[in-house]
Amino acid sequence: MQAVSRPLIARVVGASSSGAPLVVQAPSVLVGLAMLLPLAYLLMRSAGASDEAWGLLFRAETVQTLGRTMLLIVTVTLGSLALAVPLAWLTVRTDLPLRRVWSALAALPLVIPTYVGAFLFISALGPRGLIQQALAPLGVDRLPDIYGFPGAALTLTLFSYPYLLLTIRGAWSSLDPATEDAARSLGHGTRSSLLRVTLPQLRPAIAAGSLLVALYTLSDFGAVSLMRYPTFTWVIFQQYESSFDRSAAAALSLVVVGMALVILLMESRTRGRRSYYRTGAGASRAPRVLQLGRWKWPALLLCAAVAALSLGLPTVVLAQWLIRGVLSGEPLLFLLSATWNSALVSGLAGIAAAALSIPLAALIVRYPGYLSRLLERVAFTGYALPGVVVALALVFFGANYARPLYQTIWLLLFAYVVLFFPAALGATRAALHQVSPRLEEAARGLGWNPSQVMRSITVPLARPGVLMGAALVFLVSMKELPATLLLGPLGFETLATAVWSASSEAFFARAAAPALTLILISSAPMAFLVARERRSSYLKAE
Amino acid sequence: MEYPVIECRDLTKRRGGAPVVDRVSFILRQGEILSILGPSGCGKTTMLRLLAGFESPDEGEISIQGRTVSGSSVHVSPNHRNVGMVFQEYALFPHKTVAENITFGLHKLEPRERESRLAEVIGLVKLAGLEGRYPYELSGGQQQRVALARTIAPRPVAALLDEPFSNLDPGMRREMRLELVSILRGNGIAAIFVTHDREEAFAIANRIGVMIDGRLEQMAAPEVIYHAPATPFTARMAGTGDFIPAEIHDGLAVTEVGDLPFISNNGAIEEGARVTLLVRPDDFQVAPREDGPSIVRAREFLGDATVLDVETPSGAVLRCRQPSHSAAGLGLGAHVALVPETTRAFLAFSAS
Repeated sequence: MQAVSRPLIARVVGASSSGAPLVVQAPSVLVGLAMLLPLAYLLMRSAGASDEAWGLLFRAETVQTLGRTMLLIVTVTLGSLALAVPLAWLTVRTDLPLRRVWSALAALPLVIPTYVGAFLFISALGPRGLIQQALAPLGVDRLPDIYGFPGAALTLTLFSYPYLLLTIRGAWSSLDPATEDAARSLGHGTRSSLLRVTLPQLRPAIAAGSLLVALYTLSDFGAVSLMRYPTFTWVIFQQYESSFDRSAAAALSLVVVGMALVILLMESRTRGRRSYYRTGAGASRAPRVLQLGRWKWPALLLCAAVAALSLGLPTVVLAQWLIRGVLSGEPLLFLLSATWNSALVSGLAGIAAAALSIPLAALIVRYPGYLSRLLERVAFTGYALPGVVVALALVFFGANYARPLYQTIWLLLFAYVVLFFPAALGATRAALHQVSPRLEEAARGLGWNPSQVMRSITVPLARPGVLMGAALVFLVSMKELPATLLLGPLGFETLATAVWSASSEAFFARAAAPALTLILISSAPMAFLVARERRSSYLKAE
Repeated sequence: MEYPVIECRDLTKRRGGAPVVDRVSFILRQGEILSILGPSGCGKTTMLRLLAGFESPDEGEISIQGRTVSGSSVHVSPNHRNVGMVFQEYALFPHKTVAENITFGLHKLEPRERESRLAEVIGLVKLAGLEGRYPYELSGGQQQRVALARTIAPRPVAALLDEPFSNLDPGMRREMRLELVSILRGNGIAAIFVTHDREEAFAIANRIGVMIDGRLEQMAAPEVIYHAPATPFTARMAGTGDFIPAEIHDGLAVTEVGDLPFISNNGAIEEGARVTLLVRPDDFQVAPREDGPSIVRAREFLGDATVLDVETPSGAVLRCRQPSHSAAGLGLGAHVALVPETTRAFLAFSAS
């Protein structure tokens, strides 16, 4: 036992008994600085942009791009809401036949990258596509045009509504069913208590899920470029590829950052200031299950239609292209290296993001204060920044200041971590919130020092959340396209870039095999996540 | 005289400027059990956390076995204080078995010593056979025992207990209380026990400290706290009671319910002075009487007793605990009188 003179020690390690120890603080600050790098560099770069580049920004075309981007975001968000709310309700609160199956199927489109979905829709619904060919004997020689806005909106809605669905479903199953019972005992019917008590309580989840969908739509590059609907991401990419003055792309990127800020602002406004936490400590009981009765049939029809469009059609088309590809002798060997490349970079990104999230999450959860609030905000910038934007900033940065890293997988890895760090941080933070600080204090009182407590109590208890964060980051990194295209070393082919390069030139048969591999590999962490969702709701029901 | 284990001097902790622990001083002696009794939010848990070292005081000093552990330039971290703490919600490590939880603080012992200490403590808290269970496989009472065993296993110089029985059902509480006291006393472990339940405090403690708004209002033996509280607040914390106005005449306190013998909490009281008299629910008999002068305003039948709220002519409301079969009816007139052959003197608080 030794008495420690506090002010001296405090000055040395930058900690007091109520402040965070250095092992938590220093890595957190470094992570925060790293997250800020792309945005800071972008600002610098645009500040130094030529007048010509700025002139490019203030053109009618920019306004048109802005309008198209906003139209797409609003449509996809509303469309996702229209699918996700009823599907969440049907799979959580009703006696829908085969509820478990629909519940899994409804989340599954998440494993299909939007650019894969887009090429499958094009090849099925496009001019001279599979459907038109199938209908040709009936005299159909023209289908409504899929290219442009309808195709982009359809694809993005069908493959990003699960973000919203999962958020709503999570909130719905953790809602205190007693509030609904209370509403019913106060004389409100099923519908009235749903509309006046349940849905308002879900508002933060609906807002958060809509935010995810809106930001995803803003950042999507693959679907809009295949569907030839020029939103900002595609315009920026083309600007970068085709022009010598790359500052214009930087300036355009700032507009996208601005739009992301507006979306974030709208979400926090929607969420409002009311408290949505359960107030009592009352034990939670299993929620009431609504009998659908004869409404069962329309409900089933809705589930089946969504599953058919978002899973059935893509599967059939993909299978068909795969068979054609194999029969026509498409090369398959490159698959091995592409799979290895994808798994390697995504796996490293998952591990790095999860590991880096631990100190920052500990700082946020255990030592709330000015610094932790600031770093938390900074860490979530990745959410708002489209891959194209981050990649572009890192291309500039790498080419000018980090030559040895430029054109290596390390810069790409860095981009993945910046982009997807929020997913890891969110999962770790939630896990740490579940670990009572009393446990850590109990261990301290039993004679263990802070880093021993971290190792033997905190980390083991938070491990499931940390792993979930790693799985999430792996999943989204596998699917990531624009940053991979811009930052991957020359000749570095991943499954994502393989799909894109083949399908952007309409070699659909060549795109099929890597697309399928991509879907299968990203299904593994997805299965893990769905299993966790089920287990946690099972535990709650006990 | 037993030697001091923990000593606090002018301990003060502020949050946002307002003190939550306000100049608290006391000494905990070897083998003593001290109860800190106070309403929720009075600062008693913060005080325990200061003693354990989870927080550091803004002013004042704490010494443990003569060594200063908190002070103006000193803060010994919790892992170097050797005081045990039993948390209100137990804080058992959910990923460790009973045995692993209990031996968690024995990491500096040789494996063989650890095993023998484990067996000893397990026997003490009667958990033999449950060593391999996980906390969620235990009942509330068993979890409580594990928490206690884990705390005393490393032989702390003192145990700090934060409302340890509040999560047990009432039937279980008394049993665990008796066991806890016998374990602490049997092993000579000094303890500070924080509670808002006066019965618990009376049953367990050698001394009780009554705490309000961060201040230690009074610290004394349980009997003194109950019968001779220094302040009206202590009186109220120590038991249900009402205050009635009285005037001193001829050595008696003259009240509307009779002339009562009294003692002063504060020196001599002069003739004719107006005082406040503390009365307890079992001091008065309530007889039904049609013409009053008092009225029964509330009536609670509790099985072994009936509790009446009786409004006297002056408008004061007295809580009176009556035999179960009391005939006084709700809303009806009643007569209130001192229980015959009362020998006790009523405590008079003179206005100050």
